[in-house]
Amino acid sequence: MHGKTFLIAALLLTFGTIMIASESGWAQVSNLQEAIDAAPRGTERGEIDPAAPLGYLGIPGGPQINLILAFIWAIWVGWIFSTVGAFGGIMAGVGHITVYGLGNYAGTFRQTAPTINRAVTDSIRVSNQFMVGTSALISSINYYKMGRLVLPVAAALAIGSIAGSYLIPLLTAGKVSFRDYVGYFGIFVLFLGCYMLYETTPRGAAGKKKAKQAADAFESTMKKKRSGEKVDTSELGVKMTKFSLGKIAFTFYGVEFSFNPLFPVLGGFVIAAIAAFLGVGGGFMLVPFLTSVTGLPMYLSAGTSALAVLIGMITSILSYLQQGVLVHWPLIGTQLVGIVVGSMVGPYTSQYIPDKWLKRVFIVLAFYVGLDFMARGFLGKNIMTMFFG
Amino acid sequence: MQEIHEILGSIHLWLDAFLISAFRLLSNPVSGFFFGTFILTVWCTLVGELTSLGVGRMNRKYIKKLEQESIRLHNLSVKAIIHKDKESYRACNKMANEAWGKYFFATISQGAASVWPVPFALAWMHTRFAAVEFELAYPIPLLPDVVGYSAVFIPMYILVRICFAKLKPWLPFFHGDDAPKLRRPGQEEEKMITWADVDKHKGLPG
Repeated sequence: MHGKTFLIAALLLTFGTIMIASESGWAQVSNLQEAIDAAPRGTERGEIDPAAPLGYLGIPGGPQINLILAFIWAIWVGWIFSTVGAFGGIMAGVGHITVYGLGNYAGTFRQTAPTINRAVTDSIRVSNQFMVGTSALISSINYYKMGRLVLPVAAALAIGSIAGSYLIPLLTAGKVSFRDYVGYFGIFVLFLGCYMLYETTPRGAAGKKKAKQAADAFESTMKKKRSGEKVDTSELGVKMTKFSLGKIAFTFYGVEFSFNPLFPVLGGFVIAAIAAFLGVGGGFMLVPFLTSVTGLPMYLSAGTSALAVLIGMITSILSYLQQGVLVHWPLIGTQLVGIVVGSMVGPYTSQYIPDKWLKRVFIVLAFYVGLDFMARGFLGKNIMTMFFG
Repeated sequence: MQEIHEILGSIHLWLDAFLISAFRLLSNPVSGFFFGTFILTVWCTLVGELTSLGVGRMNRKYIKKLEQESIRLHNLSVKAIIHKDKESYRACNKMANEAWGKYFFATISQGAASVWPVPFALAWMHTRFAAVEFELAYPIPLLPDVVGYSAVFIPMYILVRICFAKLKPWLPFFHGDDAPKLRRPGQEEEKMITWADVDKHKGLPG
């Protein structure tokens, strides 16, 4: 069923593009070209030298992206994806902002040509989303095929996701300076670092330990009983007991659950808006959100959140492209190859590094990146220069 | 170093000549563009799927380990709900979600492996067809009125991928257990208990 939906959507899009009237002019003047033409001429910071070789996004004198460096950094990102998980998306963002030199370059145009500054910022945001989104998309399609989604919840999430993913690029594309973007990215990473740190504190660990103990206790009870024992289920599946604007209550195999239907809409909106603004996937926020708010089982929440992420990502990327945001395709391709290599190496190395140490390393990294980006964004200073002059 | 640059340069030239040849097969430029783009999407699909197959084989053991953990905890949560034990269900479900999260991100590489040729194809198309623009006869929500080569390439690529997925069972290399996809319930060591199973057996499957 879902394959057919995709097929129809793709067909519609194809027919739309095939039915062309090519009499329209060939030249579409992009905003970036106008900004390049309007920028002050020269070889100093914040100036455009028309004689310089074309760099990032075709800007004369723009940074020449070192694809070898991008490839090596992407191996690191892929390694994180395969060993740690969600932090890979953050590291992909760090690569775009810091490692490839785009941040420093965009910063030079802050006063002289803000449009170039914002064009590079938007390009980074949408590039991050492509990185996380294209690969997640393929996995998501498999979940649809398995029918692992709950449509009413997915629809509620999707409504929120579409609104968040469409509005944020519409409102912010071409308006966010690089410094602001880096600052907000820093806040997000710092928040993630704090959450990771909280999980390692006795209080945070206790919650997890409690869940593990309860799961272990239940497992041992089940082992004592004959495996595969038939259990009488008087009530099968999900049965809605109350459906109103304020409360959805349902029994799930006879056990009662309830949630406010506005929560998935709001949650979908907030998560998609953050994801679209920062250029991250958002899936790692959606799944825990769904589990804790709706009580959906893993089998269904994974697929349901995948649908919401997919819809959000497509909306957000299209919305960015609609605003005329440019993408450096060779950079994205090189990074995808790097991610593949990194995730192939990951399993062979992770067995030598305990999970506990990995977590500590990433907490330190999250704090460093978060504070550094916040300092750069809001104070205009590098964290090293702040502390050591 | 100079030699490497020369080798890379000649590979680029050869690839460029090879890819553009499909666009020149038809005399009508518009038909040639659509046909060439179609051939390019076929190449992207084939190369991507083969890479994904290779990655799947290399990481099979690790991915299976993560998958088994998430299935074990999921099954436990199913058993808990069937026993009407809400607290255990919530605990097992939380653990299952965490395990699944790790499994999901580890499998992302397989997604990346199957789509990596696409950005390169778009980059190459940019060098050849950056000036090509089509005005949409009918406005499509979220798309601008004037679109470029990517608006032809991307939908066509999706279509080719869908067709390829349908053809997979009959294609050599792609129909076995190593096929680059998340396994369906029933193909794992510990079988995943699906809700359909529970409904069918009126309880836990024996």
